[in-house]
Amino acid sequence: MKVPIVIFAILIGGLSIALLNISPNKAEQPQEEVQVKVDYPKHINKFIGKYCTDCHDEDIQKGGVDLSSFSLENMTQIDEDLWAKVYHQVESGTMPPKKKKKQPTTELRHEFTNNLSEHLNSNIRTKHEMIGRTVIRRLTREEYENTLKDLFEIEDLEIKEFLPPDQKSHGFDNIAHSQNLSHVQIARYLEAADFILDRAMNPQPKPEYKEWDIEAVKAHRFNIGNDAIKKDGKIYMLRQPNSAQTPWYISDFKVHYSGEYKLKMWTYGTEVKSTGKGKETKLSDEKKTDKHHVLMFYANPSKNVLRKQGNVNVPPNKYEAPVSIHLNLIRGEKPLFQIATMSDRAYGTAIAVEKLQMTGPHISSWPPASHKLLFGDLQSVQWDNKMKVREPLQRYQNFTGIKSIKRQSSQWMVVSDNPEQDAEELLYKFMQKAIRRPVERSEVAPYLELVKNRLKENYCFQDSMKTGYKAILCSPDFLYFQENFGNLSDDALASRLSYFLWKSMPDKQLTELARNGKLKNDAILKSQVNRMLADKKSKRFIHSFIDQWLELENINLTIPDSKLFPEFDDWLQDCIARETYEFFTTMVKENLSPTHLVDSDFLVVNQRLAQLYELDKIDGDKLRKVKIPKDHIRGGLLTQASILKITANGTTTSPVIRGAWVTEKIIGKHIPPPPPNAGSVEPDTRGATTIRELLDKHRNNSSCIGCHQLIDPPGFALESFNPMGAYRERYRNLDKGDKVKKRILGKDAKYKLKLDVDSTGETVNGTKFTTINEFRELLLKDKKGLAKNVTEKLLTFATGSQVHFTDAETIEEITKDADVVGIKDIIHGIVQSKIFRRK
Amino acid sequence: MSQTFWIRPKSINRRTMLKGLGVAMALPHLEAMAVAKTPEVPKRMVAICTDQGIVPGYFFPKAKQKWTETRYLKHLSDHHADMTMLSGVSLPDVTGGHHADVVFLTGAAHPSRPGFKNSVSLDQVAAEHVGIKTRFQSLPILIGRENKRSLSFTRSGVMIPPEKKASNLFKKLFIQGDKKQVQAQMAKLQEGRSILDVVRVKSKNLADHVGKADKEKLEQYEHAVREAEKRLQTMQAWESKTKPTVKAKVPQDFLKPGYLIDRSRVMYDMTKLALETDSTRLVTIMIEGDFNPKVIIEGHDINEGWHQLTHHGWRKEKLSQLGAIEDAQFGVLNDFLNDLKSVKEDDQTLLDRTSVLYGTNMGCANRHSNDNLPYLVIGGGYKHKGHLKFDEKNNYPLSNLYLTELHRLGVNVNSFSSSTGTMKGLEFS
Repeated sequence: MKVPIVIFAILIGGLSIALLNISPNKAEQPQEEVQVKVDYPKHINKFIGKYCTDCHDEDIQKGGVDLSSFSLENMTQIDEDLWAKVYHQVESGTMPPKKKKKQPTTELRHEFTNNLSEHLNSNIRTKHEMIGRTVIRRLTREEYENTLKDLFEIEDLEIKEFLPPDQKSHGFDNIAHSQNLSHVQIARYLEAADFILDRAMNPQPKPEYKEWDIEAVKAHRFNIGNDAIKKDGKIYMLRQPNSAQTPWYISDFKVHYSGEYKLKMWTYGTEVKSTGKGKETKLSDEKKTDKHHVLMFYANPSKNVLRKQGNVNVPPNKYEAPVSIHLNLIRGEKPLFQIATMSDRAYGTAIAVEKLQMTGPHISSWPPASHKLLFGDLQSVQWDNKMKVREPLQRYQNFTGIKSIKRQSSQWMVVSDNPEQDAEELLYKFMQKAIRRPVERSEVAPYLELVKNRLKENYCFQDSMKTGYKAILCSPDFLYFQENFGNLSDDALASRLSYFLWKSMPDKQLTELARNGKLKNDAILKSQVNRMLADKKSKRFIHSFIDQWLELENINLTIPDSKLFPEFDDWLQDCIARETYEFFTTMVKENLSPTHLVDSDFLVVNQRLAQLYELDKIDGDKLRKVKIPKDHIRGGLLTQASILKITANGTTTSPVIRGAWVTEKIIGKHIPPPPPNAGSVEPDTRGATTIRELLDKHRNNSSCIGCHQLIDPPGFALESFNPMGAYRERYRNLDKGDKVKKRILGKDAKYKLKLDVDSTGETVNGTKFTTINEFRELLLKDKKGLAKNVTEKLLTFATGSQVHFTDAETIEEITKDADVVGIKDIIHGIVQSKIFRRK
Repeated sequence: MSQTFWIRPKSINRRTMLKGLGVAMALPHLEAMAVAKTPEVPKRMVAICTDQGIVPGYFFPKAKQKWTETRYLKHLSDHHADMTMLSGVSLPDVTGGHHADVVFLTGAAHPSRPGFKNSVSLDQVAAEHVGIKTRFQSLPILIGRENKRSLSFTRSGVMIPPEKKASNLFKKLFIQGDKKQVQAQMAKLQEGRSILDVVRVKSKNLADHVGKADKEKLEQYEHAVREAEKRLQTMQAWESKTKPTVKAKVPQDFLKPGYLIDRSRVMYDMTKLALETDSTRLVTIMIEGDFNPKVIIEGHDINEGWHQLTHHGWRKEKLSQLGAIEDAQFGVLNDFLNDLKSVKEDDQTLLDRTSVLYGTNMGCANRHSNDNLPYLVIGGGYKHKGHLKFDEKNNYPLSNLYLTELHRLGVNVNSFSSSTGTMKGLEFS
């Protein structure tokens, strides 16, 4: 490999120009080249010694920082991060602190930051040239699952639960440096491969397609009289059964083959009155209604586990056509549904159901693609005990991630007339697809050997092949990214791109472009990014990125206290995360400016969210873009219910937690943890003191105020929102205050209103604000900062590496037109950048 | 000279070691002793973390109150002589509220910070030494919802997935497959080994073509494969041995989150059976409250989720419900201790040879603090002296207890995690 020589022109003190050779291998360096080497460490240490070590030395270690223990030579990642911090602190003028008498002149400060930046850049670049900016990366369990889904074309494959969760680092779970591996995963990879191969193999005849006409009155075991009434051959569902019975099963239907089914429902919403009790209940005639209802569908693989399938709208008054929903059901599962728009107490409205029809499994071709990938066009027969080979091994029959092997009476198996030849061909083809780079024929050998050994031991062809495939799926070739040094090969680039925007392996088009050497072309790369973002697989990127960046993965961690926040229901729980995903999807699709994270002129809402946000009535479950009324308090991420919920604990809110969230996630400043024994503030839920008063006592302490001045202001601005994301002017509590006369979801409100909310605050540089809208304006002033932050987060996620000091130039370049740059531009900028295209 | 390991001056607290072996021993004989001619006394450990905290006011004594008289300790009155209450202890540099559950037995610093990497857990260090003697090197158990969390972590910081179903645990421990099943299982283990053989060679080839840093990662893979192979081999060996038989029947699983107490009870039952039959000597139990549904406590109307209740804000009706849950938790713990004591082994009870570490990752769940952890050390042959009080402002490192525990289990190490020495005031009898 030829060693690149990087030459930097450096201005030192405005006088001398130094040429510096950076070379990973000094021995190869041409001797005659002239070098004027600047001793950066000496300059840097001189400054540090003069202005910093008064506080940051071994003895005092102010802020936990001891500069004497960090090296400028052979820097580790920890050293690099520390020096990067020093650079930013000195460059921004935060350090040395203003109160210190000894201050460097502006010139000295400049000289120092220049020296430090040159030293860091050259050292880190050299290191990256030698070992890469990132180390070899392993598929995360999410990527592993998606890769297998796409490899075998099985959409509802749920396999990540087989593997232990991946370590998160710098906010994301794909950071190569922090990835661990131990025997635990290896054992699990073996198990998971078994599971997936059993699902993929389908030697048996095509399962029969069936239609089940289900009479509405027989469809589920309603508690007739209380929950539902039969009348004129219809079922009138009057209320949501209580939570213990939720959701309802659809019976008279059984899934024998895991796959796609379709449910049609002839149904509409209406208004009826019921009189009497139990079986004596009578219904009044139907009345017109303007209420749109929503049903939420699930499947349950085992007790207490629900897999969400989707929501459907029920039209008011009559139906034009049946509503239908596609269900991905796994063998043995039953579909269930829940009425999102009704509570278990409130009567008055009803959903009439005339009949239901279930059809399936819907199979486009047989054998399925997964089987063809493994066995081509080879025939299958039924085993019997007269055959020479062993009986085929039992396969997983219950594909729910829960191990259960049921015995089948007569096993089907794939047969081959030329087993060894077929094995070689099949393995080769499989590797070509699974391994994400061109494969040499010779690479098949060790796997073929495995298969041959199994054949010798008299295992049937199918089971022998399975051993070979299992080995491939556990091999480092499959589990790791294969990235070469320097500019990534086309194949490596295709993989990096694909795991960025799809969280999975490249598809046929990407692979072909890579194999033809075309992907490196800027224009083609750009058009591929556009194609990939338009593909539905990009949903995986949005979800994974948002889940991790904004911590939306914690959305179900708490449930708002039912007495304090009785409005919170299952439907709202279901909608709030969707809003944020959909909002960010819109930002990407329409290439909107990162400022939309803070403020947008639109919201993406449905009926339930519009109700929570006090907007005009919208019907149905589908999320759609609506314009925000003038002076409305919502807009951007910060006022989305999802964010307001994950930054609360279900009962109370804390400006510190919310403030820290905004500071870290949106502004992009890392907050050091509180010093030991800092203590923390316990919210007073009895309503006597506001959190602000409690906090004041704590933060006015001199050792706390420094950080809290920075952290708390966004949290104060967000005090106007309660733990489920609704607007508030007074705090709710259950002890003292004014009673509220309101019926919520059929129950009397139990909470009381007492203290007033105060959403005013002052930023660290002394600017005052009184509402969230005013605070937003302040955040919007730093467009560049907002753009840089989201770029850093995306870059981390895209490359599987933390942001390095040397990345600053690229980030600056991508965001240089902060006024016009959009999220899509940023994604393009990252993909086109050298950082992304080199290891 | 492999024995030098045993007499290296700093490698173990020699005094403790000598005490454990009999003080009369003269130094030169130590080497011989280390090879252990005396019949081995099995040492066991059960570490339990209940992750929603323990209300400190009901656990720790108030001024002038005896430690045995607090609301929660009263539930354990039969065992006061066999236990030590720790106060003023925590894991140094462990922050992050709920996130600290994953470091309860590892002590790795700042679990919620960027770049966090977990380290090896106490039980897994012990497993490397005592694990090989039993069918299961260790048994991580979860009383909770998903297979996402356990207390046990490998050397490379990877979580060892827990068992969450009592019935599965029972099957693993005691149900002997028929001949055909055993053969099938053996064949599967053999297949696994041959596969691992191939992929290990693959990774070696790959490692020859990459840079230094990548090579290290691939070596980690290779090492992991080798470890997995070893385990398959051990499993094969155990597979050919008959499993112990017990009178108990396959237990009910109680998977509904409301059944926290019933679930705890069956898991404690399984733990006792596993220890009694010497199927394992190391059990970790994570009791997870990461679910919102309400816990069912007989005679109490619990109308809010467990986690919600921990954010009681000192509201009476919330605290009384939370107290009822934790009362019941200590109730089943007491039953468990009774069970361990009821089993005789030689002239000792199972509890004498099993240390039960019971605690939580949060000192006060109401405000998510990770200091002043409520903690009990029970049984295990320690000289229990009641309440060991440390500084509430400047906590004593809990990792020192873990080092002491390792020494008790016969693991000869100088330090564990953030330990600064062995536990002050806690000695072996």
